[in-house]
Amino acid sequence: MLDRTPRKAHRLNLTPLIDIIFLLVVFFMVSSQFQQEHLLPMQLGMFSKTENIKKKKEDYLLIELLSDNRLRVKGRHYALHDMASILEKEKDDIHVLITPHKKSHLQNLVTVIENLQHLGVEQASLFEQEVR
Amino acid sequence: MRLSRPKKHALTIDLIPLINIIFLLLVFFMLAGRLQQLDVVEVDPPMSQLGEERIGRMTTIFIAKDGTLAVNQDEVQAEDLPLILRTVLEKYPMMRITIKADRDVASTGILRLIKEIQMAGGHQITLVTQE
Repeated sequence: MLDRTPRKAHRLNLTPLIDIIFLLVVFFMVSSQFQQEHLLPMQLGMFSKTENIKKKKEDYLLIELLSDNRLRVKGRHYALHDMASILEKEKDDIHVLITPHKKSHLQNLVTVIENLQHLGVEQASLFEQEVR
Repeated sequence: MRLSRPKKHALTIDLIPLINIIFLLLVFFMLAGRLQQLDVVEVDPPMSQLGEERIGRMTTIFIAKDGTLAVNQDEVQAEDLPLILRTVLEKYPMMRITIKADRDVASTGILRLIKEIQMAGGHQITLVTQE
């Protein structure tokens, strides 16, 4: 009968495993993106000539987006989030024209579009002012 | 009188709970995160609750805060953009053109870009926003 070799208490060395898992955790932490990006359709009609608007002036509401984060409608100034008071006296099917001034930021334009959609405006167009 | 010292135990830290937690973290980041290629220019898109999910193939035009332009992964000059757009849209007429612009970029610049895309034959134009 063969003598059995005495069993040694084997302990698995877990340190390299932990190293690798830590590396993986750090990799996924750094390279993952949690912020959701969305796409806003910019299929709004654009007018390149002012004549197009002048034809039916009463059917349109011109909202000017000023560079100081304010809106100008019919000569009066409004705050950016004051869209409800601008639209309350207008017809439900009013066609809104948005025209940003040169130094107005994109964020303000997106906010205006967002507010209009929340208030149920169906017809809105972006309009670039002609450089005079 | 000599006091007897307490016997030293061979201390071994039980690593199994640690590994469990790290595995949980690993699985969380693998499932909850989304791997994405880094943008060629740094852009902080405008905040908005509106918008649809990003689906399908698209050509992305990046506009950084300082006005640097890039198409997909390549930086381009503003004067080359119309030609690039025409080339892309002649090959793939239904290609969606996505504008990823910084929130501090001038709105008028974006309108001019949309006009350029429309003149080059682009119909599906979208703007990247973030929640």
